[in-house]
Amino acid sequence: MAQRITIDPITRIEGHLRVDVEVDGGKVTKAWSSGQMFRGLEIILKGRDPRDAWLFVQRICGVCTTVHALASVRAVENALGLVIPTNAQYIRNMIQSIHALHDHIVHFYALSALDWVDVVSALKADPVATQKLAETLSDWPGNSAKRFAAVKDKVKTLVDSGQLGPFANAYWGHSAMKLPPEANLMAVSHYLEALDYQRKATQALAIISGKNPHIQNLSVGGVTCAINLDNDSTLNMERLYFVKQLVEEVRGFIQQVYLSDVVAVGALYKEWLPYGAGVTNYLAAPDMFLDKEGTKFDLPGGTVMGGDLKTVKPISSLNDKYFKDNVQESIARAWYDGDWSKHPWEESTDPKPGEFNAEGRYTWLKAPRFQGKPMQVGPLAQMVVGYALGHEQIVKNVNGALDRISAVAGVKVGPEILHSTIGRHAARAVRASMMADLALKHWGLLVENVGKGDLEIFNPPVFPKGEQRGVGVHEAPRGLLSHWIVIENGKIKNYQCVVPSTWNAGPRDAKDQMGPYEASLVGNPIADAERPLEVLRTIHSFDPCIACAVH
Amino acid sequence: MADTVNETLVPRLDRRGFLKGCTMAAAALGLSETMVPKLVEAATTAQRPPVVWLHFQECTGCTESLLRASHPDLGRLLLDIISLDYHETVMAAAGHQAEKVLHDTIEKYNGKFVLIVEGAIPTKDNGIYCKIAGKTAMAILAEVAPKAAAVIAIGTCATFGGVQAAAPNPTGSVGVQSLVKGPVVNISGCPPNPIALLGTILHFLTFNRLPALDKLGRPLFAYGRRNHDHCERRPHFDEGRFVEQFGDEFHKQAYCLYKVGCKGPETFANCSAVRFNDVDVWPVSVGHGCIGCTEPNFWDTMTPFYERLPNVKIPGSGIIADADSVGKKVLGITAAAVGIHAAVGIGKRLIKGKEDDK
Amino acid sequence: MTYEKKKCWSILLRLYHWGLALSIVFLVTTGIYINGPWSNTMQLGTGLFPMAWMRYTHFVAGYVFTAAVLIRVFLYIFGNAQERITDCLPITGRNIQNLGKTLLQYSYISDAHDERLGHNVLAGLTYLITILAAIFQLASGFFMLFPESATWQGLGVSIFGNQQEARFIHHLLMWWFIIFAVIHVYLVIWNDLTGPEGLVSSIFTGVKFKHKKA
Ligand code: HEM
Ligand code: HEM
Ligand code: NFV
Ligand code: SF4
Ligand code: SF4
Ligand code: F3S
Ligand SMILES: [Mg+2]
Repeated sequence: MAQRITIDPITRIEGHLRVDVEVDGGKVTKAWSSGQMFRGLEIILKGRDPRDAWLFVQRICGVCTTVHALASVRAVENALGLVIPTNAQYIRNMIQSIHALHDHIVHFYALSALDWVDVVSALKADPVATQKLAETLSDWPGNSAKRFAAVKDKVKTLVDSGQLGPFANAYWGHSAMKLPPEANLMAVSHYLEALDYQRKATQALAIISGKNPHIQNLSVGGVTCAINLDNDSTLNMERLYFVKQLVEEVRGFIQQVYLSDVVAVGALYKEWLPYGAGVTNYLAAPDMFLDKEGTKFDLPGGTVMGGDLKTVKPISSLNDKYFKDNVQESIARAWYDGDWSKHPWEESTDPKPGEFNAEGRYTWLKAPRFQGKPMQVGPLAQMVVGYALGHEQIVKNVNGALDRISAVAGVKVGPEILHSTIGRHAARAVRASMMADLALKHWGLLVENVGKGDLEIFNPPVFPKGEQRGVGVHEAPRGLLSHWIVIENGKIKNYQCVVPSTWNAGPRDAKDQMGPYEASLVGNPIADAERPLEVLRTIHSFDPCIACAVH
Repeated sequence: MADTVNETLVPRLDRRGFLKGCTMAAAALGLSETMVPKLVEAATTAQRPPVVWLHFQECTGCTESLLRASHPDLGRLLLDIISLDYHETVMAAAGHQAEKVLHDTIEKYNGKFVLIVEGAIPTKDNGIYCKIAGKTAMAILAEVAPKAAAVIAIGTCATFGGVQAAAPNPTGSVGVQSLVKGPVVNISGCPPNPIALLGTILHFLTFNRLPALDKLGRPLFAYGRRNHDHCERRPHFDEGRFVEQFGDEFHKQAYCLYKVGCKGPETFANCSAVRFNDVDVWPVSVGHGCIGCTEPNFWDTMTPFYERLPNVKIPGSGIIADADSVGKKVLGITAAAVGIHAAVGIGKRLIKGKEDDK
Repeated sequence: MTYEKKKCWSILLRLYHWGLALSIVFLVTTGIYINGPWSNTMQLGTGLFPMAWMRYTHFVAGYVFTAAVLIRVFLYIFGNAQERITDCLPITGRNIQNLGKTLLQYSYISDAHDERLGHNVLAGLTYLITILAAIFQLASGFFMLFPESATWQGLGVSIFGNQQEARFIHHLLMWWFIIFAVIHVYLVIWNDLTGPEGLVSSIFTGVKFKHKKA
């Protein structure tokens, strides 16, 4: 007998997400993903000054703060044909990569680790044995028996207080929790340490961007952080080396702790490797531009269809028509007026609220499609596309992670395991590690360019009469983000955001094709319908952001 | 650097000390007396005061800002200072397990927990634009807020409606104070500096009373003055040295950003004084003007952000235009009218004068 | 024809008038500078402090302006017959008639002209509106000037909203004063030329000339 389960709210994500699954014979047979909150940013932007748009849309999300900002200034610049100075490009790249470090660390530890780690079980761990276990994974200096003992004591104090706070009434002791107590204790220790390292990443970001969440150093035409090596209140070498030091510290944590922890989870939960693939059409944006025009980049973009690496097609620049022409959004199953499927420049946003109806409309998310097909976006998409394209750094880093999982698991695993719930975590950790390297690389490029005497940061925008259309594409932590703008006589006529979490968490379309969240849940095991931990595992692996997805 | 588990860095806050401090301080200060007894009780019944944090129409930037906090840092805040019983972004439980936590907390600590709200509340169409566990934000707030010992609204969304309330406010969003009876502490900003919230909480835990507030319910220690008043570029303002365009020579000298739209002169906030992320920065220090994010309706009144004066509605007229273009037009019309009037007068004189001569 | 001198404006009213007129000239000039400082320099250490001086001048003029407004409010209630508010409002038959006559006269339709000791009612109304505008102007001004005063903040927030809105209204009202000044100066000169009272000099001497009643 099929049983319907509603999980609302899905917690440890950004935003208001409801997931419904039908379970039959201990497995998910049907799933629905539903965004429960609407704000109407696309409506609010109409008629406003295009230069202001980035500050508005940045407020779509405070978790992936920076990404809508970047996509927005790019969209306006694209519409105007405005090329920004080289320094501005490098500074934006540093913003992108450093923000990703913070975002990925927080996602793995604060938002998803508790799906795999039993905090209460850590009380049974032996700190010395924990140190031994940790040493087999990495030589991180924080992995000491003393520290583990202190953490264990901390957990004990918390549990004894009777006030579990955010850890109350969770899935402790669930039969799907498989880690030995020592692995749990190690993970709890890293959970706390992660709080310090994510903060360092945000500090590095703030030095360039004034503050964050919600940076304030962009502008259509470049950036506003003036460079003057001989001034105390501009970007100078003191500020830049402060950034570098912090990023280096964070890189250490990512490469020695985060990546190792993901390897351990992947290996110790190897029975989970077959679950959660879902939609295996992948879409990623090229990003981390190496030139002013956006034609050379450090992160490759493109598509892979049906999980077949041989189908790979690159997206070769910000202006590639292969991307621009093939995006549409369908509102057939969402709470909007109409049932069209349209290209973003032609779209509108006309809310028509309703109740959840599994057979009809059931969400505030539109359903983005590429050539009519649902696509999975995110770090995994980028790794799969890059792997398929033979991108040197990606092949090297992905193979390295697979080798480490194989070693700990004791079985040889290949890239096919990436199409899974755990694959998404692994791809994200690999991406974080690459982003740390890239942040430092682009730091070097900036310093080199400044050393040549180039201090340019801004080319002023000019808004001609008449209509201009632009798109800003960006590879955000959760995947490909695109902002589509139509400007008329210097004012915004239409603004549409097609967001990573909209691609992933979106509903069915007019042809009844499920979105990636929904498809990935089908086939997941459910041990206890009262405590559907497994659903959380797969949903969390996407790193949901529903404020992004609806906006 | 903060280390969340190093015991020497975690002197447990002593509840008894708080209470003593509270009696001492109660005599010295005078505000919001009514809530003190309830809170003293709250402080004595639980080891760590229970906090319920609700999310409505928001971007989680306010929550994210707490990840950046350093004194106290988040680990210490959660493990040693408060008991964050309900907070959708960090809590381990989900679905009906999470719902149960919420209900258990507000029943068990009825009248004793602190409620923090992040995000605006849509009111159009009975609030259907934001639902959690099948209930609207409006319904949840109406259920939880009356049971709280104190209500704190964090962020410009929860205080004044925020970005979703910007014209034309498609979902009828409002801030918490529009829906809740009784006092609300407003920690505005988009997001606020985390120290504004933490300072308020620590003040509260130390003295069992709220800090002094301004007329908009914002704590004076964080919103008592304008950014302009403590800005490091203020001397350039006074001496008339201004950035004309980003990237120009004036910008490279870090001159004042007034002419490229800085709203520091009209924004009550402590950004210029306390700065962000422990690295001594704020928007102006990276060459961008303040956009006024702590002020009510700043999305409509401070825009366009890169202009000095905004295009606000001319009161009552529904016309959206900037003051000077209207002013100059009317002045032009006036001058023309005066000219015509004088010409007609002179013309009449000439004709009449001739008639008189006859 | 014979004329006689008649006392019309108290010294207080004349003081107020010139205080107001002078302060407005300074306020407009410095206000425009504050809005869009037209001077700019790369030079350090000039010791010129243009913005600081402009603001300082603005605030000093602001106090003069405020004092003038207060005097006017006092005179509206306690001034002489011509100065009281009742003489400016179209509330008596005589005043309503005067309003119509003045409108006809100003539009060159008729030459008929009341000889009043006080203002014509059209002028009186305009002055009253100006004083009301001045009250909003000084309220928004003091709201901006004393950011940490609870009183001004409470008042400012309830009248204007945030400081930017106050500033906008402050700026918008400036245009009223500029436009008023243009029309006003034109009309007093026009009246001086077309009528017998010696209007311009009256605001210096306090005396108007009227036809001597036989
Ligand atoms: C006819 C009377 C007045 C006029 C035409 C006038 C005009 C102006 C203008 C144009 C500005 C610049 C606003 C902007 O566009 O940014 C300004 C600013 C200001 N005015 Fe006035 N003003 C008048 C009276 C007053 C009075 C009575 C006060 C009270 C003392 C005052 C206080 C201020 C203050 C505090 C500022 C802001 C200065 C700053 O923040 O730097 N004003 N005024
Ligand atoms: C050359 C400069 C000026 C001259 C000769 C002048 C002359 C006069 C005269 C003759 C009157 C009395 C008019 C009547 O009885 O209707 C008057 C009244 C008035 N003037 Fe002026 N004026 C001058 C400039 C200004 C300026 C610049 C302002 C302010 C913008 C101003 C504001 C007023 C006001 C408000 C009154 C009404 C007095 C009252 O409240 O009763 N004047 N002026
Ligand atoms: N989805 C999403 Fe974002 C990201 N990464 C948006 O562009 O999270 Ni808030
Ligand atoms: S106030 Fe700003 S940062 Fe906070 S939730 Fe609202 S939009 Fe996000
Ligand atoms: S930069 Fe902004 S806050 Fe600073 S002095 Fe200039 S106008 Fe004021
Ligand atoms: S924009 Fe906001 S963060 Fe501070 S500098 Fe201005 S109040
Ligand atoms: Mg959209």
